[in-house]
Amino acid sequence: MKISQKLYVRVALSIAIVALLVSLATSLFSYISGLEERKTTNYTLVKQLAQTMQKTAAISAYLVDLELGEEISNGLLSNDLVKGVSLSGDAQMLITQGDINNVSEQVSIQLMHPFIPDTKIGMLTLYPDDIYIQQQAQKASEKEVLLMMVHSIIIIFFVSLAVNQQLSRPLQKLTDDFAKIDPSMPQTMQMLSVKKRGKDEVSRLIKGINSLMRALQQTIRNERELRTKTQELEARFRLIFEQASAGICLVDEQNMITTYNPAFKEHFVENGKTEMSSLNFPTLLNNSDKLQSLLQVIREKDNVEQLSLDIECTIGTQTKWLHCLFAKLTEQRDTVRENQETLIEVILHDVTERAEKEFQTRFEADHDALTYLLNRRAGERALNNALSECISKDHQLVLMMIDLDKFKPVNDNLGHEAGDKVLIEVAQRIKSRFNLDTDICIRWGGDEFVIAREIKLSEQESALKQAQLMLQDIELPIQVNDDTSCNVSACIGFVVGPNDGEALHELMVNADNTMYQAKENGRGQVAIFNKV
Amino acid sequence: MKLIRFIIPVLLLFSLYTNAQDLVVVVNKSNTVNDLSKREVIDIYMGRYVTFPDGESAKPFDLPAKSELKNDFYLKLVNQNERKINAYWARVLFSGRAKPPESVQSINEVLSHLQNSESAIAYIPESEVTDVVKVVYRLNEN
Repeated sequence: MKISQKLYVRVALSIAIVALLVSLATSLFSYISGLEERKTTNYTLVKQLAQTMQKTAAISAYLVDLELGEEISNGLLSNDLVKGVSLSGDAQMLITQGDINNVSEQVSIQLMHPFIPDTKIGMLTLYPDDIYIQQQAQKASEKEVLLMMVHSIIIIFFVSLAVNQQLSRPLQKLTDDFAKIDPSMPQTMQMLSVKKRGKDEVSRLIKGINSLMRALQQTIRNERELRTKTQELEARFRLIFEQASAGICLVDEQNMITTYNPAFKEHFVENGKTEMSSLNFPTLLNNSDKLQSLLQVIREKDNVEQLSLDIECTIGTQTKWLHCLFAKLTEQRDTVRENQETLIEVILHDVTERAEKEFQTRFEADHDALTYLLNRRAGERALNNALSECISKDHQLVLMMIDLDKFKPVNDNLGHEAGDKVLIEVAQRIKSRFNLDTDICIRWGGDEFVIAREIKLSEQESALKQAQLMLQDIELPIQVNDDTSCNVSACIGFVVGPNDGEALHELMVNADNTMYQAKENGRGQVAIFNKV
Repeated sequence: MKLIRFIIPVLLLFSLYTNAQDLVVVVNKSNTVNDLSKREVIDIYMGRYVTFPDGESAKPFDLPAKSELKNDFYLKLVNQNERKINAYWARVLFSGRAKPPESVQSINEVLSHLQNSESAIAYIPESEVTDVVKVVYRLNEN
């Protein structure tokens, strides 16, 4: 810092300038007034001098005593203030001493007769030494000015000293201490030293700064602790999120994935690729249209908070079953931002294995282990459903009771294994003719089968035709082992519900009876139920 | 000293006697001066001039110091007492130009001086005026 910028120097300079100006003005004034005053004083002194000598001078003038007159004149002239003296009396009496020329002013006093009152006998005139008087006045004034200057300088010095001691130094120290503080490094925020009993402005300022810093330090410390905690927490959450075996993602209102974890990505990345095929969530899975509407439902319905679903998806050539848990995310903080999107959190597990096992179990429960057709229990359930469906839709349900002819001899002659093979082959041939989604093929028991097909009224003929074609299929030879084949045939009891029975039981009884009629007519026959 | 012892009671008597008397300034009968003004008397007695106005030398005489007559004379002449007159002479003697009047012991002595010298001048009570002197100034005159 330049010295001219220091506070106490500036204060001192200001004081110095003012003091000098005041001193000069005062000096000038005192010089002028002092000159006048001194002149007046000196004139008074001269007059008094003259008065002192008045009586003696009067006597000398009375006696025309030149010696005495000269004595008086010399005495007066020896005074510095007097430049010239003139003593006049009678014609013979005139004493002039010193320089009486070029003197503007003079002090004259009348000399009175010593013995006769009111009688003038002469005049004593003194000529003051103006130059001397002026010099005297000047000297006095100069001395005064000098004293004033010295006075000013001393005051300036002590004021500077005091300002430096009381103000500049504490301020400088404060500034230096303050400069050491780096707000980004709280450890530098040391308390500033302060005089214990200081009550001046600087001390109060320092105390204020200290309390501010204390508060700041506290705040920073709290912030740090909080941040550390938050970071720890965040790290833990991140760990949970990233290390979770379940795939987790967030889906926005446009069904786009905004966030996902590595496990999620792993589910949807094809072998040999590094990125997911799309970030649009529904398109990643099969049945995307249905999924979209499901997501919409979750978003719109207030009471639906979460929903779980097994969804199939095809990644490359692989088909997976994913158990998905959908949850609507709601803002838990008090301040809800406007126009906030409703995000849906999706947590999914690969449940392919379990799904397949379940599928297998259900299949085994519902199907005949030999022919893989529905077993009787599952079949009956399916038939009931189909019948009520047809009634509600004003459709018809064709129901055929099939019984194999000449199956017992196959079993007896060729063995059970051959019998089983025949049953499997027949089942396949039935299935190949009745392969619609809604067709129901059941192994009713032993060598009995039941087929049901939902039809419209006009389709009865084609169904019948299909049944006859099926009978022909069944009659084709069946290879039971490498060198043996056998032939079987079947009879069909053909009924149409609900015309031939509104209840399944009734329908089944009728179909059974009709089938036996067909048997009576010979092998490989189709008998149609005929209401009596 | 015997003389002083003798004189003092005489002077005391004298003064008692002369107190009511007017003082007059006198000169030798043969002096040409017949009349003097107050200023002229002052000038002679205070040492300004040592001559009469006509140029003849004048020699003034004083009565004894501290006498009633002397004091009275100066009071009447210049309105100053003897002490002030002494102070005046002390100042004037410094330069030596003028001398105070010669002092005599008695009026008789004054009279003898007046008789013997034409230039003598003195003041006496009017009652003491003799034939040998003539009055030139009366002090009650103003």
